[in-house]
Amino acid sequence: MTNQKIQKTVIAVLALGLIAAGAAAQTTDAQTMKRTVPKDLDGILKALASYDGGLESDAYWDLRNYVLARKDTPEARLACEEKLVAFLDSKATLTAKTDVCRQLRVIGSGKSVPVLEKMLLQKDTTDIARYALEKIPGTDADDALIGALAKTKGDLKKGIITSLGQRKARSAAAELGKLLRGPDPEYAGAAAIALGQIGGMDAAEALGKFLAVTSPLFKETIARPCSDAPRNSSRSKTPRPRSRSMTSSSAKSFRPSSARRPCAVRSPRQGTKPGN
Amino acid sequence: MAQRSSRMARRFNSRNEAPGKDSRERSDRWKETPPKGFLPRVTRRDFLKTLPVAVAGAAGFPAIVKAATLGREGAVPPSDKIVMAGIGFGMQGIPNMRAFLQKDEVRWVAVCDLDKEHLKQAQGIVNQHYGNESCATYHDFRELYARGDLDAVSIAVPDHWHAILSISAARAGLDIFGEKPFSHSLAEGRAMCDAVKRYGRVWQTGSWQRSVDNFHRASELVRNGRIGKILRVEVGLPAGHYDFARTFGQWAVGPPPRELDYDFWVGPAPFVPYCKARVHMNWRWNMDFGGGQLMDWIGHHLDIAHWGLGFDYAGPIEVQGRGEFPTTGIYNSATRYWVDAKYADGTPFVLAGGYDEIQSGTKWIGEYGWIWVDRGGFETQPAYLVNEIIGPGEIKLIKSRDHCQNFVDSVKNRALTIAPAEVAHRSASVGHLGVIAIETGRRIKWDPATETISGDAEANRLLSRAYRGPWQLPA
Repeated sequence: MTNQKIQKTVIAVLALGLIAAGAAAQTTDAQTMKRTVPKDLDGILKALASYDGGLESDAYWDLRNYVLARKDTPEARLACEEKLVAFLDSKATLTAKTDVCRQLRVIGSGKSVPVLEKMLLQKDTTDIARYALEKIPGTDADDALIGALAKTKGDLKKGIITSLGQRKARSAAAELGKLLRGPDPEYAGAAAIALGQIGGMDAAEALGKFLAVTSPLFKETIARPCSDAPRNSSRSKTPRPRSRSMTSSSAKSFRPSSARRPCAVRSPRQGTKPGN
Repeated sequence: MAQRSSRMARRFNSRNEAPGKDSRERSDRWKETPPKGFLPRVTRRDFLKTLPVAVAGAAGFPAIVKAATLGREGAVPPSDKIVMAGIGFGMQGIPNMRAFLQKDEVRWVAVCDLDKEHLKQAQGIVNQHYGNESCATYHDFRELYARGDLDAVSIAVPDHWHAILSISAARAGLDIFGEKPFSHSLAEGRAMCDAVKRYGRVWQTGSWQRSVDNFHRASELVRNGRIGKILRVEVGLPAGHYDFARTFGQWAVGPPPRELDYDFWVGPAPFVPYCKARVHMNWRWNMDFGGGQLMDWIGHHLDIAHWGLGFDYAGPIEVQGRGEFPTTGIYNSATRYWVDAKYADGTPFVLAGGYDEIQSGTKWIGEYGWIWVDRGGFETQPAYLVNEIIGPGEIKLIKSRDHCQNFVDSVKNRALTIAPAEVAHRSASVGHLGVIAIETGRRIKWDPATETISGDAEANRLLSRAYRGPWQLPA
């Protein structure tokens, strides 16, 4: 073998090595969108049922693509939803149910509410149930959350209060008002924020009344939602002010340090650039 | 806030207490029996006896108080220093902290992280810098904020924690240096802006390109109409998923390591089992915790595009997009994407990652030429524009040569930073809308004034995410 041939062989081997290394480094990217959308939802859900959240996520991707492909056709969407709801009642892994709730967040309707309502009461499933339920339109979802308030406690209850606020559920104002006046400061604080988000005059009135009688320590928690409530409304379309100044309402809350005499201003210098 | 107010009130009262009847009575009692912990009363004669010793001592140690402590020789006295702490040291927190440690006006007193290894590393850097062991460590940000002596905080945590940490910081009266992307959802972004304004805080986003000369020059040229009316803007962003933590391949689900409080780390996001590739640095590729390349870079090149056009407080009115996703694995952010956005004045924007026809960086294409800028790159057509000087009567954009210094100066002067909250929110909004448009596969009609999506209930569902209990955005 001549020197030229040896050189060519070495270069070829090196090139192949580099290509292989590059391909290995891009494992994740190379697998994009090569799969076709599967046709059988039952098969997908069967495979998904044992998903543990690790690499073997084909079923997750199949489910996502399946739902995305059908979400804009009412009949197909409804058929999807029915099967997903049934799946939530099965003995699938929590991760698998979480992935189903991710889809119901987008396509869920009143038909999903009964099973999600049951899940609200369980410690393991309450959060994923709210992940879907918080976005499902209609009073059924509001009623499910309000109903669960009396049956839960601790973090479950606080989560439900939060979701009612996020949904701006006007019908929850009375129940949240009770929690506001209740003995538990955790629930009361969460309820105050939720009432501020729900907004409207009822919520504002409830907060205002409580503000007048609550302890000084709790006033700060209540004060902000109290000022939020009148302007927050589920139908609010008021343009937000384009604030160019951050100081319009700020002078009162400056830190004491800002009132100290000014520091010596140093000449600007090139600093470390924070990476990305 | 209440705690701090009462603390300050006590401090003030102790300094300004008038020597009234009560204090005279106390001093009379002390003549008889000094209270525990107080020195016995010293008579004038006793004092004079000790005077020569005191004078000799003062003469022997004239420099016992450093000039720097008194603010002399150009040093900042301790009482004027900005007391800072940091949260999150898995990635950008360390370089940010190192930059702040170089500032004489800053005193870094504490670090906070959910990973004990990161915490130890960050504490070591601070202690080494000051040559002491005084840097405090915190596991829970709520305990850090409750210290009561902080002026500002640097937050460099996964995106899903941005809103809770920053709104809580604002409530605690802290100024905030927050990493980009500004928020994890549009609703969170709005809540963050409202909180920063409501509590009168200074906010600087880690969109440091604004503090680099070529980005500033390019934006200023565009703003001053050097290429005429802008006909199209192209924003080129990275594609794929980059293995920052070298944990690709470590997909096995299992118990989290002892040093990491994984449940707290997941926080308000939906719980998913631990695997090494899911957490530190590579969390960015999972939409529960980050926003992929699109959201990682939206606070840079799109932010610069806005700056050049004077769109800092504007937003698109229509957005549509398409994306490609992995078909397996634990990451679910787009690996290749194309987003079209249209603004109220008709200017079309393209944001793309993984398309050769869209050059990395920001490119404004105008009636008379184009201007392109990227890290280390700045080109124009016509070429002479690169050397154009902005004249006295023209628009001058805020100038900063040091992003962290700009924050420090703003904290001292109570001024807007070069990348304030509302501006960062408007930049991030375009990315969030792009994600929603890709996810729904539809053209999104956006009202930047009310920040609502018109006529698309499904897209509106994606404006926020439900939090895992017990987490709730503070008011």
